[in-house]
Amino acid sequence: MSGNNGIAKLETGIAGLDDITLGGLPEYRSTLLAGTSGSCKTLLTLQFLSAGIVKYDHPAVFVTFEETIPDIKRNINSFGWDIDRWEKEGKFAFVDVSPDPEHETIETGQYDFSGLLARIEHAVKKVGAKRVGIDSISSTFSHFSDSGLVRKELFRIAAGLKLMDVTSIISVERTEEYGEISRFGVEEFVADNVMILRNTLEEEKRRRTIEILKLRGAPHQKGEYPCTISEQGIEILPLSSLKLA
Amino acid sequence: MKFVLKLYVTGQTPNSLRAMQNLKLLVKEVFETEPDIKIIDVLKNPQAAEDDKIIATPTLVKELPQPMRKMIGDLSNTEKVLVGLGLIPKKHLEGNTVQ
Repeated sequence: MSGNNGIAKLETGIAGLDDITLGGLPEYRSTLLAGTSGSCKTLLTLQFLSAGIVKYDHPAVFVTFEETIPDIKRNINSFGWDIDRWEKEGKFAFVDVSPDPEHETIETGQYDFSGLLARIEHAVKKVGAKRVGIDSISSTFSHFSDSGLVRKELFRIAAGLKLMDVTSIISVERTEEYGEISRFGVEEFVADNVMILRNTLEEEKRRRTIEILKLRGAPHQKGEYPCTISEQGIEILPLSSLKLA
Repeated sequence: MKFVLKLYVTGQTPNSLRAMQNLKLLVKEVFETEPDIKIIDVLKNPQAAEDDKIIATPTLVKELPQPMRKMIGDLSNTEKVLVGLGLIPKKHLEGNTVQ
């Protein structure tokens, strides 16, 4: 379904998200999902992949930089997404880039992330992926000493994704709810499309919201929208929270 | 002490060529017995890179003797490579290990 000025959008299948993005995420592009820890970035990213498989039969790849695969599977089994089965059916593949605490890594000279890019391409080809989730690239900075190099290499990954005909969500860590988009200023990779998940506490009341900050010049709803967590995952209420106040 | 090493490279990129060269020099100068070395190109064998959870290339994986350790980069810092291989004590290293 194409947006009204030529930007094709991929319907995500997530209740409310397709409303506030006026049709879904820009197809074949990356959307940055920024949020503090505990703002459910991982959940929304996995939900994007699961909705793709369940509703549109879109195979998916999930690149995890932080959580281990067993932890991910345990955290989402209450949502009924049967990733084990999808993996066996060849519809889902993990790329495990979570830290390896037992084994020490020593830097001995110049390197790049072409190894990781080759693994992502391999997984995408293996399942014929239409959707990719990358969570969260901010933790890469703690694995390597040279943050300038990490930023350059993450740009390589984002650029590489563009050549793979996949629609992707790349999550990044924030330290404050209303400040810079991300902790390491990595948003310039996918500056075109940015969504922000917030998890604020107002008068002892937990308030979760999502905001579509930018969608590559395509129209979208403005402002923060309330979300809740149900058995289906994150539910986004397309009534603008400003109208509710 | 039998060494089993795997060097993950990306085709003929400059970093990878330098790593292969540095490893050849090391083998001549440092090892008493010939180590068992496998060179793996992630472009041709991405599944192996997945199994060994390779992020950066080049990466030299010391499988044996234990403990398994990963040395990333073109192996130009010989001292760090020797520490990674367990051939010189760690105290030589001013704490640049990551993770």
